[in-house]
Amino acid sequence: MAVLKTRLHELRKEKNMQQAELAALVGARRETIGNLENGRYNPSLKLAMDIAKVFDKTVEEIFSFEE
Amino acid sequence: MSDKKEPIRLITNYMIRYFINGGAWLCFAVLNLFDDNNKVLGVISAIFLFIAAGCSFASLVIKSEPEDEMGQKHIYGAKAITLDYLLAVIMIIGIISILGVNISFNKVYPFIIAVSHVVVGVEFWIREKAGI
Repeated sequence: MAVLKTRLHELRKEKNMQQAELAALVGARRETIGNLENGRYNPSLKLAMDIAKVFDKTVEEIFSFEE
Repeated sequence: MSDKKEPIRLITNYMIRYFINGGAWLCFAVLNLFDDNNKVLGVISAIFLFIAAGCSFASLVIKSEPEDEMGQKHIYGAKAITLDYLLAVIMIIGIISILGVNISFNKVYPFIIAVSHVVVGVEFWIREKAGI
């Protein structure tokens, strides 16, 4: 089964941003960002694009699936 | 220091709405099994129902963080699986009653309400913590 991998934690640390701050920017809860970072939640396309916009990256640069 | 009240977490709101509410219904259901004419038990039962109603009301009026897409997914999943459990329980009760055992709906319905609340709360909590 494909596993979701994200660079969210790394990008967030680069920007010195808290989970709660990112959550507020994309209209999600802190728990959602936490689960995303741990690969325990697959975001909707809208959320993925909103997150990508915050970091000025493409969705593929942040999220990927690994077998 | 800011006087602005922080909204309660969504998981806390749902624990009040489903888990504590269901727990109060469960207590009522157990007391409902005993003597109907006992006034003390009647008063205690009424208190539990009052707590249940209070939980439902409080969860609606307390300022809580807004539901996001993960919260929605988890609560819908929790409700869907609870419906499956509930239908299974109702089917079992139906089968037992066909076999000739009399089951008083008055005694059973609080258990059904209790379980339907508690299971939603527990399922939501598991989904939030484990992530699905």
